[in-house]
Amino acid sequence: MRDVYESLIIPLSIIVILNVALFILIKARVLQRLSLSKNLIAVLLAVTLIPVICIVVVNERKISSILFTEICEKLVSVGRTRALFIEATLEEVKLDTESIAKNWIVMEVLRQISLEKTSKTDPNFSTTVKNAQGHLNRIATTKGYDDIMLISAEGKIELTSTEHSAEVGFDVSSDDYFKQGKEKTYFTDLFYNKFANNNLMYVVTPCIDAQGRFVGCVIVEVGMRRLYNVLADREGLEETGETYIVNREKLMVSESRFLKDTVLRVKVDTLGVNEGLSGKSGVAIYPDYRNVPVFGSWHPVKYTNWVLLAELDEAEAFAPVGINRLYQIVLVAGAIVMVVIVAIFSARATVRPVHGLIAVSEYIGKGDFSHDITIQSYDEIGKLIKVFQYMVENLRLLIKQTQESISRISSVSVEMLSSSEEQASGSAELAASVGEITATIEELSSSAKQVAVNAESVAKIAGDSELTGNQGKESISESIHIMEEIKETTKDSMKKVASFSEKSQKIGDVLSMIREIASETHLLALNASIEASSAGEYGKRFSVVAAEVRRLAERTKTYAEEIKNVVSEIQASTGAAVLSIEQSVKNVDKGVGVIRGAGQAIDSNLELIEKTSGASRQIVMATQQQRSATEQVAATMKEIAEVVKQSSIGLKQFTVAIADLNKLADEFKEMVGKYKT
Amino acid sequence: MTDGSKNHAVADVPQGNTEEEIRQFIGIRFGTELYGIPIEKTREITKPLQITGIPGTLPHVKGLMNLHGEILCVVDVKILLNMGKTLVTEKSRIVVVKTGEGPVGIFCDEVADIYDILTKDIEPPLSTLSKEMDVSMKGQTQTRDGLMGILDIEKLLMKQEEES
Repeated sequence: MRDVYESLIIPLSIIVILNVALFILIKARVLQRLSLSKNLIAVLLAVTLIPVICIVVVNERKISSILFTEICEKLVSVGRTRALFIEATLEEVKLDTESIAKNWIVMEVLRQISLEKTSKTDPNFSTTVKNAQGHLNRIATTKGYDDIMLISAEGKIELTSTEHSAEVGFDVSSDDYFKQGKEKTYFTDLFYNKFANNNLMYVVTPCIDAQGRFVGCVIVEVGMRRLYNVLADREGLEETGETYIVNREKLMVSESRFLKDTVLRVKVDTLGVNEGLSGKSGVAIYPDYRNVPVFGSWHPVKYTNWVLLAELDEAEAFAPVGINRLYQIVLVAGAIVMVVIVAIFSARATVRPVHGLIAVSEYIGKGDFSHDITIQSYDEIGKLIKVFQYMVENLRLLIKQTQESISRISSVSVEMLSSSEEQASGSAELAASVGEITATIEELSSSAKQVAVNAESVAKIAGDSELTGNQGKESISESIHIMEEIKETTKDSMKKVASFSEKSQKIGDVLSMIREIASETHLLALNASIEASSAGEYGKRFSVVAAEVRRLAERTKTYAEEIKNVVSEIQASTGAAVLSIEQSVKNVDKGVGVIRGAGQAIDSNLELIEKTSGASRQIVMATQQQRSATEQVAATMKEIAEVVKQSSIGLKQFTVAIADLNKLADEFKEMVGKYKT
Repeated sequence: MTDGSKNHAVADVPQGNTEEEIRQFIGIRFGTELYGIPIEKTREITKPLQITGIPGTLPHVKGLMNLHGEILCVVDVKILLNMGKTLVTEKSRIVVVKTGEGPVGIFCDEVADIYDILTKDIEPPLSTLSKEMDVSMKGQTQTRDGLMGILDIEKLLMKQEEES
């Protein structure tokens, strides 16, 4: 639960708090005081690094804690193992010692010495002693003990495993270990033995005979070598790990890894030692005898007042943490660099269009619209640029149009000026022409008078024509009379021709008769020939005559035919003559009609002349009316002249106004011309 | 009225051989065609008079005609010669022919003239003529008015009667 709290809730709340702070900063527009790119970098860094650092810290804490636990466990395990091993070793020694004390030879020897007070030199006994010593020597050799000593109840060293030991006869009754060892098995602390010239510990156990009498003690001298072998084993202790034993006096019992010749010389007064001496085992970080912070576990060792310490330098223990931290620092640094680079690029990418926009805006501020923003971007800034570009283009178009319009206005006003000037001169001309028209109208008036005079003379001439017309009428009736006579004569000659035609018709009839007769004659002649032929030889002459008659008849027939043709021609020409005469009669009739038409024409001519006379009288009247109208026109023209004069004055004012307008347009043009597009 | 050469020619006829013999033919016209009938076969020439049609007779028989109290049968030879029908005009004539069964009137469009023809000048009929015509044609000859076919009128009429 605490773990969750530490590694999840706290970092999370820190992240939240920091982000809220960032948000408040952004909200308070504190960051907006920076430039956009710096702002972006700051925000990106903050957003990236807050969680990263939190995670790193939590991670490291977690790793440290895991490592701590692990190392603790390791140290405890190593320490416990070694402590147990040492205890086991001591136990073995104890068991060995106790078994030695129970050995009957040892017991016998000690009983003889302590109770019987038998001298070792007694010949009966010396063999026993010798055997006992051999036994002890064998044990010591096989078990690797320094020495095994038998002490009498009085506390004198009676026998050692080594022959001729200097210690024999040495009284140890006053020594603490003898006193303790009389009661039960006792382990001494490590001490310096001058006889062995070595640091030793004694294991003392009482020897009690079958009757329950205390007969002496057995002391086994244990060298520390076999313990040291265990302690010096550095397996699982890395570079700086060590295990050592400290006694009640807080002196080091074993060799240090770091210092030389430490046994019973170096005092170790550390947390672990103190704790261990109070009979507890545990693990902690504390400064060791070198005053180096170490992980240490302490374990009290049974049978003795020792404390076994297993220690590992904190520096080494936490080395992986340090390496990990280094890695993480490198990672975070890399992340920062990357974030900064990305942020810079991103900021630049974001800001560049804005800079472009600013540059173009500055140009526009100066009135130069000729610059485009060509940056491609699809975000809001891109949209802004598009809109801006659109605005610039529109403004450009507007300015262009304005310029064009102004130049057009300018040119138009110039044209207006010139045209109004022209108009002024034109109105002057108009005034002049009005004057001319007035003059012309006066002339028209006088010519109308002339027309009236002429019309009167026309009326007179028309009267004369009337007279002449009447004379013409008379001569026409005369010519009609003559024509009637011609007609009569022609009709007469026509009758004569018709009678000639009738006569020639009769000639034709006669000729038909002649032909008929000739035909009959021919037939008769033929029959005559036939008759002649039937008459035979006598008829031959008659036949010749008949042939002649036949030919005559035929010739007659031919002549008659010719005459008939001539008569037919005569008849045809007579018919033509009749036709032509009839035609001439008709022509005469037509001539009469024509002359009558002429008479009528003269009559109508007379009427016309009368009409002309009337019309010319009307002309005179009309001319008079025209004169009065002309005078009215003249008066109107004068009024027009007045109006023209006034309009001329108005036009002059107009011209002045247009000149002003023109000037104004020029000024405006110049003003707008400052804008580049 | 008399002509020396003519007289001589007429005088020569009895003395001359048959080659030099002159025969007279009455030239009649059917349409424009000139046919000759020997003068000795003819009795007279007359203008067409009142011809009374007889119902139930052959188409070439025009009818009967009263000539000076004599009743004549008038035949339209043009129908027999397949030359169409003869119409009565001013020039139309009837040649009265002597046959074994009495006189018959031949209706013709015109009587041209009487021709004196030497016998040697008469050529045999053309071989290209049809059999019917061959029977009734004796030959042809040249005259001053053109080529003249000489008709054997009796055979022509007889043939018709046989056929009918």
